[in-house]
Amino acid sequence: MVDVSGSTSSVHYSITARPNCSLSPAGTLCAFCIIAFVTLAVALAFTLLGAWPILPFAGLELLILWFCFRHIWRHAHDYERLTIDDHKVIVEKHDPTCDSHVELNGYWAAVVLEFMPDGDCRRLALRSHGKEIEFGRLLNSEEKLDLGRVLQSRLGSYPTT
Amino acid sequence: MATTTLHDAHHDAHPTGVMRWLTSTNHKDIGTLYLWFSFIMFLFAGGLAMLIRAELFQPGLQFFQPNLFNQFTTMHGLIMIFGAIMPAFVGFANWQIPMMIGAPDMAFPRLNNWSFWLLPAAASLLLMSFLMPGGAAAGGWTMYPPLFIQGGMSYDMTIFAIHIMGLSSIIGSINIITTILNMRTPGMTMMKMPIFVWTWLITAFLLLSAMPVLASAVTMLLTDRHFGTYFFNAAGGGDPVMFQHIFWFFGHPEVYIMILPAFGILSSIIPTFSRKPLFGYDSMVYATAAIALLSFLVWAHHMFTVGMPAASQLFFMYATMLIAIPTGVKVFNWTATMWRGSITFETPMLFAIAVVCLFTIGGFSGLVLAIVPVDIQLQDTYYVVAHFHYVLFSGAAMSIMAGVYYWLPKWTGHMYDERLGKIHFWLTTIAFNVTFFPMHFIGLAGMPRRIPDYALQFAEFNMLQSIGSFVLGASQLLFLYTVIKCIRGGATAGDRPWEGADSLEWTLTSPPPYHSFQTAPAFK
Repeated sequence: MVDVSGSTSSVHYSITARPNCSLSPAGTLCAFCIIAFVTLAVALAFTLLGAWPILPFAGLELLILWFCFRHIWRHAHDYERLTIDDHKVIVEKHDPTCDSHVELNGYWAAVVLEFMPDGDCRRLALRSHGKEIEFGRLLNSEEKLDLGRVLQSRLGSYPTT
Repeated sequence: MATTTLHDAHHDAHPTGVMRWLTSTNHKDIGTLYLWFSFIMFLFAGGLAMLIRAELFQPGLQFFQPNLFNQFTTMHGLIMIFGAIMPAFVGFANWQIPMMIGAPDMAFPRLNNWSFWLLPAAASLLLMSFLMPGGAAAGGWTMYPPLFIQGGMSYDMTIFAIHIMGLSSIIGSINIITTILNMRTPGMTMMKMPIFVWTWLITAFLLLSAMPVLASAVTMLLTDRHFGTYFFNAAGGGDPVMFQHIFWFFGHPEVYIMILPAFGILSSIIPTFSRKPLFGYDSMVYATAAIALLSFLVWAHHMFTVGMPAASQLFFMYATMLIAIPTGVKVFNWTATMWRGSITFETPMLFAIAVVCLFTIGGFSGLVLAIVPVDIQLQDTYYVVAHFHYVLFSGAAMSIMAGVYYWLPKWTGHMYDERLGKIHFWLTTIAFNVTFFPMHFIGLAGMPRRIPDYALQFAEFNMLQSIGSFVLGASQLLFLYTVIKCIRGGATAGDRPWEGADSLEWTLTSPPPYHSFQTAPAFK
């Protein structure tokens, strides 16, 4: 899920797509610490009474929990931003594995929309000088299509497939 | 600025056929799998209960030798708890939580798939253990040593099955916690979540805290059996009573793991059919949290007879009685919600009212058992059997039935047959009471549990109970028929078939789209 925010004027258009995260990084840490505290307190108490096998099981569980929370936390600040400013089109993407910033010439950039057999929009991209930059990984079919139409009205269009 | 909510693109593929179920990462498909799996297990474990009751129909040994009878009681308990009730609530969580919080799916869909498919593997181990030399485990669902240290290969299979089910529960809980905390629609703060979501959040915390304890308990049994350790083996200096402490430290929270989601279901149904908001939302949340907290402080009330200091007995007695306060708050709130409401009595509401009444009876008999001198008299009698069936059948299982009737129109797009639903309700409620209420009397009179034979003085009550249990078992086939009939067709259900229902899932179509909320719903 994403929040999409856009502002429009005759010379400027910007849209930012972000995943919906109702848990802040601080909240993530807090939730993990509460669970870890209770789980480890129980495990340590039983370990002191001689039932030490609880400790590795508790550790294993917290490890799985940590990986899941870490995954959420790492993706909390993901975004994709597309800005049209005068004759420049700027596509920015940020996620834990990639941070990219691509500028295209607005006069040359064309919108590419690819469809599934059932009519759903599968892919939205901008094409310029033989290169394609995909946008809208966080958007669903309907949103890609709406955004594609907006972009087509502001930029050139490319034959769809 | 426009705000729109969308979903992750990798969910676009819709698998079909068998692969839809094997590889599905969709929360509704997985919820459906959980519910069907739990119902199949419910029928199997219920079948074992019928065999138990057939043996107890008359005094003396009728059909089964004591060892086989003990296998039935052991597997009935294990399968009902780990195979039927817990998975059914996880099925509800899968279906309802994303729809109730305005999310498109669970936070970790692939983990979700895995957590389900671990269950049939574990269940197969449990069921196949009947085919092992010596039969299935017969040491009781509580797996106490020394019996569980001495048994054959089926005991290893049972231990392994418990491990797998525990792993499934841990993964499922992590998924539920992350989904609820991170995927709520904008505007849905914690104190605006539906109570069902709250109860599941707290249940998932309980599961995460309790499951490592169970996993290590059964691991220690395994190492005592095969690797020469003496954790619980008194022959080598081990302490069998320590197993009871460890087991019940898991086991009592487990009781609340099975009942808190039921409270969540009731808190959805009662306001809907009373056409009033839930009375005391905040106190419901705090009461749920209080019950969860107290559930870790009362475990030794299951083992008053092992011989513990009077101070410990007093502590656990009073702590157990303390649980009646938050539970009473809940019962009061449900009653206050119904007070002066425009109540109608559709099948889900009938079940919900029955649960409130019958669970309260189970709660009261629990208070009786909390009193140490009384418990010492009633330990391992049918009074205990009556108590926990009033809690777990009329509390948990009947809440599941209520929830199925309540959300079935949303899930299938069809209304169920109200007449059949009501027949099922009355048969279940009457037969349940005929089966289990007399157990209070024979328990008070001293009839021990887990014994296939009994004194002649208990014959009439046992015959009555067995007849009640057969009707109870047969009426669940009517439930199956009603559900299948609803899935196959029936009157079209609107998006909001219950006029008093107001949580987010009712804003979706019936049945809901493959991905629940592709755009974030407005939430006030």
